[in-house]
Amino acid sequence: MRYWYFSETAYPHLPDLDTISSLRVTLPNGIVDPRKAADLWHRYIDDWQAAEHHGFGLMINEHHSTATCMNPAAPIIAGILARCTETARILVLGNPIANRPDPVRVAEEMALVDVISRGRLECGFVRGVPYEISATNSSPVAMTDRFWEAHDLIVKAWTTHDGPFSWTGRFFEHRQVNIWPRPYQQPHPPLWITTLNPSSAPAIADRGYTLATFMQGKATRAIFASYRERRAELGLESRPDQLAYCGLVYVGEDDEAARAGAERLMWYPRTNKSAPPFEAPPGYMPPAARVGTLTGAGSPLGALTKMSQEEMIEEGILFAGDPDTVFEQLRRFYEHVGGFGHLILLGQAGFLGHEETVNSLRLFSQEVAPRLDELAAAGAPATAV
Amino acid sequence: MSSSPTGTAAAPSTDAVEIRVSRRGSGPPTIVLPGIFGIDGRSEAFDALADASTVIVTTHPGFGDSPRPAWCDSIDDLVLAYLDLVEREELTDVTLVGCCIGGWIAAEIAVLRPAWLSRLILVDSLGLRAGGTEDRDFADIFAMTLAEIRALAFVDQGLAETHLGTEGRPVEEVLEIARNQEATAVYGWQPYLHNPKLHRRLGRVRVPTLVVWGERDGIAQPRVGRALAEAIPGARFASIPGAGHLPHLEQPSAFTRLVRDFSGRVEPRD
Repeated sequence: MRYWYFSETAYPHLPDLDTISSLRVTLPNGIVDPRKAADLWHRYIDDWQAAEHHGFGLMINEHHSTATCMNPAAPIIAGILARCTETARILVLGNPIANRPDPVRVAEEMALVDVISRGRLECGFVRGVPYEISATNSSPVAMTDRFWEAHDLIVKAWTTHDGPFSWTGRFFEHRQVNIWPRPYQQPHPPLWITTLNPSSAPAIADRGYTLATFMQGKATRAIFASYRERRAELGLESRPDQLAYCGLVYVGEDDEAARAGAERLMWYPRTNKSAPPFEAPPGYMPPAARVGTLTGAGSPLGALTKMSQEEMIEEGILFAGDPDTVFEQLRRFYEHVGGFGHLILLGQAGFLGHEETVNSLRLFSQEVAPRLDELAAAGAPATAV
Repeated sequence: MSSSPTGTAAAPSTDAVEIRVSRRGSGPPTIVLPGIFGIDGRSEAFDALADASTVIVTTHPGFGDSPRPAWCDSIDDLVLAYLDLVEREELTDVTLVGCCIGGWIAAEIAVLRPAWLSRLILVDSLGLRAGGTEDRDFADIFAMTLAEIRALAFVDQGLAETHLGTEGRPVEEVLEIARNQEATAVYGWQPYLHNPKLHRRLGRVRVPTLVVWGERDGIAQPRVGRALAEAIPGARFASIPGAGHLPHLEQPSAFTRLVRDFSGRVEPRD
């Protein structure tokens, strides 16, 4: 089992949430004090360095126009980590390639990070949450087709070494693609793709990439099953390291301390407020799936923002407690979903400070991870489909 | 009113564009190209105009419950589909009324100077930019709730609720609203609801043209209407008080008077 530390790198110093209609897209950046943002960024990088020390891989992501994540350029942070860490794998999860207007540039950025890190990059591609389209004015229509064409172009750019090639696709056009440098890892860095539903899993399984899903709780079981079933259909093996799960994790010395830390981690789901039109732009999902949004039946984020710690633990979204408790919660979840090879710990959010963050990582690494490794070494759980 | 698919009989392939139409009245044809809400055909004004002409209201591919082949994703595609439709039906002496996105399509058709076109009426039309780089000529409807869109599109919010409210509306009709929004995104995401080349091309229009605008249209700014009337040689601009984006629905009598006055005053081209 491999463990990844992830922070959304929030800017948590916000006005009363009741006075804000959305943390996404429309929140004025006048709220940001650039000096506080600088302090936070230095500290977030310190967190990742400490996570490396405790044996974690480092995961970074990217969002735009939001206080929930101050990283609008994952390749830049990946480049920093490539130079200020030594051994940790660096997971960019991910590049929003259905939104980026120029996939060749993504190929260049990722190759550069891979070279600087001497081959420590794991490269993720994400379709992106609906409120990300404004940042690049990208159309929500046909995003999946655009995503896969961008993917094809990037992989071709990484793996072509005998001079320029030409690309005339439905969405992208280049006449001289020839990236410098090329990736350090051959043929290219390991690829990850995220999904939140079982129907997208087969396309990832076809290519054998690592499928990652975020905070889907018990629904994760069907997503992982869909991946494994597709691999079986193709007569191909499924390996645990092809499946990744991300949950909120906080480990404390005792359950009480852990609950207090977890409460601060809950800033992430509780503060994730967005305006309805940005959650379901036309074309992002089939019209039938938008009917609920139009009739005001509720936002997909709504449920998560209102859940209690207990409900989130029961659902397998939050894992919090002393090391025994967290191991037990993770064991139950691991068995429920049929096993997986990567656990991504959303281990910092909101006002959770450096010491508290690193203390949880240390406890996890020393007291939870070895037991999970044992569990994983025992083979796939009987529940695996 | 009868509703029938048109344009499929001669279609050689299964992914041909199908344009659904409804007809009422008799006489020289008036083709109504509807807007992004797909509700224009409900206007009493078109019942009134049907006493002297055959009023043909279309549904653009992808709107309402009409199919849209995946390749059909630009205003050009719709323009050609409408040219095919009129040629196939051998219509002549056509008055073309374009509302909202239908106005954009109608203006692009008029630029091509088809022989069958006699008059052009543009109603709160999209397609042309009139403001500066930072002006929003067209409200960012993709960043709005339906309630916000209703507030900008109508002066009379009761009427807005009747036509575009979701409360108590059957789910199939809400689904059509969702399909209309998706089709609008398909045809008009970027450049946003306009063709940057259109301004220069409008000088080619040779038919008598009336531009009608709801005085309080919050979806398409009235300056767009004035710019259309300036760019099209000889065009008239008329503003209708007490109306938003759909003056033919909110002020049908005033709209009908304007159209009759315009049609009576101009000599149709032979």
